[in-house]
Formats: sequence, C-alpha cells, structure tokens
Amino acid sequence: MTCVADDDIVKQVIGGNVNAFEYLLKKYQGHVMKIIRKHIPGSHADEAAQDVFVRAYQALPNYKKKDSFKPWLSVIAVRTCYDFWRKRYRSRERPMSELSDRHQDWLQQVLSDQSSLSYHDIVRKKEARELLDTALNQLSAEERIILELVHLEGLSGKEVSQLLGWSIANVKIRSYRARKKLHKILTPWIEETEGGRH
Amino acid sequence: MIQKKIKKLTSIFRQTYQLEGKTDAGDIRCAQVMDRIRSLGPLPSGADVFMWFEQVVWRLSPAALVLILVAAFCLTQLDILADHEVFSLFEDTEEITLAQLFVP
Repeated sequence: MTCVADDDIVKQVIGGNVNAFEYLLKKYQGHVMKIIRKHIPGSHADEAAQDVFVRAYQALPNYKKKDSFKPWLSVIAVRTCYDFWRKRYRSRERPMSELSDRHQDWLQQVLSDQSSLSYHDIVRKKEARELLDTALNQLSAEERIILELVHLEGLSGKEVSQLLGWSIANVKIRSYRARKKLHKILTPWIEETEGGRH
Repeated sequence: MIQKKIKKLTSIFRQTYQLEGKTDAGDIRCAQVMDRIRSLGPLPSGADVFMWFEQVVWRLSPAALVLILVAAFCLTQLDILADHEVFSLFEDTEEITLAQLFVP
C-alpha cells in the first residue's frame, strides 16, 4: 500500500510537481537521519541528510517501480556517508593515535575483570565512542564504511554489496582487511594500558 | 591473551555504535531541503530521452546486428580489387618516371 503511494508521489515529482517531494522528505527523514547519525558526526549530520534528499530528488528518474522507495533511499544515504568520508579524508591531518589519560583509564576499566562499572555503563561512556572514532579515523574511507556496516552494524555481505554497489567477494576481502587493520590499531592501545598497569 | 582483549573491546565498540541508532535521530530542516530542491527546478525532460533509449533503442539491437552483418557481407562481395589494380598502375608509372630521372 505504502509502496503504491510512494510510486504515485514519485510519478508526480517526475511529472513536474516539485512540491510533492516534501511528502517523501517528511515520511523518510527519520529513516535517513538514523543512517546518517550512525556514520557521520552529529555536527555534520543535518547537512549530509539534506544532501541525501537532494541526491534522491536528482536521481528520481532512475528510480524503478520494482524497487521499494525506502531501500532505494537507504542506498543513497549510505553512499552519501561514504562520499562524506572520502572527501574528509582527502583533506584530513594526520590522525591522532596517542591516547589521553581519560581514555587510558576507561580502557583499564574495560580490560580489567574487576571493573566497578557495569557493562551497560561502560558501553554508554563518552570515552567508548571517542575511542571508537579515534580508531575509525585511522582507517581509509573504504575500510571505515565496510567495518561499520559489516562488523559494527552486523549486515550481511549481500546487504552491504547492494548498499555500496560492490561485489560480494570485494566486500568480504575488504571487510577482512579492515578488521585486521582495526586489530593492529587496538593492539598497541591494549599493550600500553597493560604496561601502565604493571 | 591480547586477542581475547581485542575481542572484548570490539564487542563493546559494537554495542556503543548500535546505541547511536537507538537515540533520537532528530529532524532535518525540511524547509531548507525543499528550498534547495525548488532551486533545482523540475526534473529535466532529458531523462525521458534516456528512458526511451533504454526501453526502445536497446530492443532494436538484434536487428541492428543483423544489418551490420549483411552490410559486411555485401562489402566483401563488392569488386574493390579492380580499383586497387588501377591505383597500383599509377603507382608503377610514378616509379618508372622517378627511375628515369636517375638514368644518366
């Protein structure tokens, strides 16, 4: 039912009724924002989400009726996030790899079995997200997006291949390499924390 | 030992990451997006040409292939050898004339 309604709106927009697009924008803004917020820092999320809808509008003539509008829009959203990191990484400075005392304290709490914090609290700590971002910033744009989709979000190889337009074999190889690289980044952190404890 | 700790850390990161999707995503400034879209104007009719190309022209490709094969066959049957011979005759004359220049 919703698909039919979406298709009608798409037809109207292609037919020249630009204002009809507002219906799709309001209907799917939450869905798009959810995807964007996972992949892009909050300060850039609104701009990236706007870009997703502008891109979707421009790509509407390529939208095929047999696809559902929501997954089609998800593909545009994920690729916009990927492009965001590609542009950003081109102009980025050397990523910081040294950890602050605050981050080291958090790591020590996490890695010691006698932590006073519950698992739930550890996960919710600001330091967790900051450290994850520090690690992700040391990967390339390709490695970052694949690691986020496969290992952090838990999507299947087939789903990721549809979202990024890569072959399944390519997704598997890149995801394996990205995971290896993440482990390489995390190992000195753990060693440093272990060394500090002794 | 380190592998076990890496596993623990990545599992925590996974949970942290997934929390982002559960928090309130917030709204997009719809008015701003619509302003950008209106400034782009209605979608170009050129897209229809591409759709027409995709739907109609590609269906004609088998017929086009047959036509190309027939044209190629006809070309091989044409008597282009005679023209070549006439051309080489002129070439020979030229060579003789040039050779004569060097005869003492």
